[in-house]
Amino acid sequence: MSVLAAIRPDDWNFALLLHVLGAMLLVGGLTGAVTALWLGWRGDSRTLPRLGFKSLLFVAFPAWWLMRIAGQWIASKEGFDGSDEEPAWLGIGYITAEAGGLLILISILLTGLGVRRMRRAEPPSASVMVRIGTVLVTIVLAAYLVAVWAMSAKPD
Amino acid sequence: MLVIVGTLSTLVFGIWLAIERDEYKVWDGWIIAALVLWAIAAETGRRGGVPYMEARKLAERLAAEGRAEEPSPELRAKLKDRNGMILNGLSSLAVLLLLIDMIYKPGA
Repeated sequence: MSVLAAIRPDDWNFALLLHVLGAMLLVGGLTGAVTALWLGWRGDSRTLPRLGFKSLLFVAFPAWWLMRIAGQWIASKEGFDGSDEEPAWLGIGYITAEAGGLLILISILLTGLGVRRMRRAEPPSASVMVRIGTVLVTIVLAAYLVAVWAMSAKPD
Repeated sequence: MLVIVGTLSTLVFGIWLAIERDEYKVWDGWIIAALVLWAIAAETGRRGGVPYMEARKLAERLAAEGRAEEPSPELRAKLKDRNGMILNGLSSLAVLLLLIDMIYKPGA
């Protein structure tokens, strides 16, 4: 029998599955948003910033909730919930999740308002709010890639 | 490009991990299942992307002709290609099953 499979009890699997699924969807949604927003940086296309905004709102944002809630669920199963002896990798996870979630929310507001203004502008022009949102989402994506590494490597 | 790099990376690093770790063998049932699911996801994803690549080329041609703002029934049809949607759905399903296989490691 696999030693690693023996380390993790079977009843943890579903919570871990939901957490990893949420994280995959979150990183995928952020990657799609970052790509669309950077490609639309110059503002000569209304479609790309709108795609970026929708990626954040309909993919990344719900996925964050799935990742976060399931993450808390498996943390409690592992006995880390409210524990003083929290490993470093879990701390990295909490910090990136909470701060990243807030930045995603701010980016959704900024890109949403920016896209709305771009819709009214003729000809289309770059929106400062969309650009700020673009930079914030890029920072969030980079932070989550660090979190993915921490969750996998589990540094002490 | 991102998809190609990601797809190949998961295969390379996954096989490397299976060889590196003493607890795993590349011929373990759940690892074989993962490789099969990876192949299904990669091929259905590749085939599913064909109509969208054609749509992109058509959109670029329309834009070059100055017809970017005109409705194009041909472009709409390519973006709503049924086979493309089914194949992409199958690819996503294969990835989900692969994730379940990685977490549960059946038979391990």
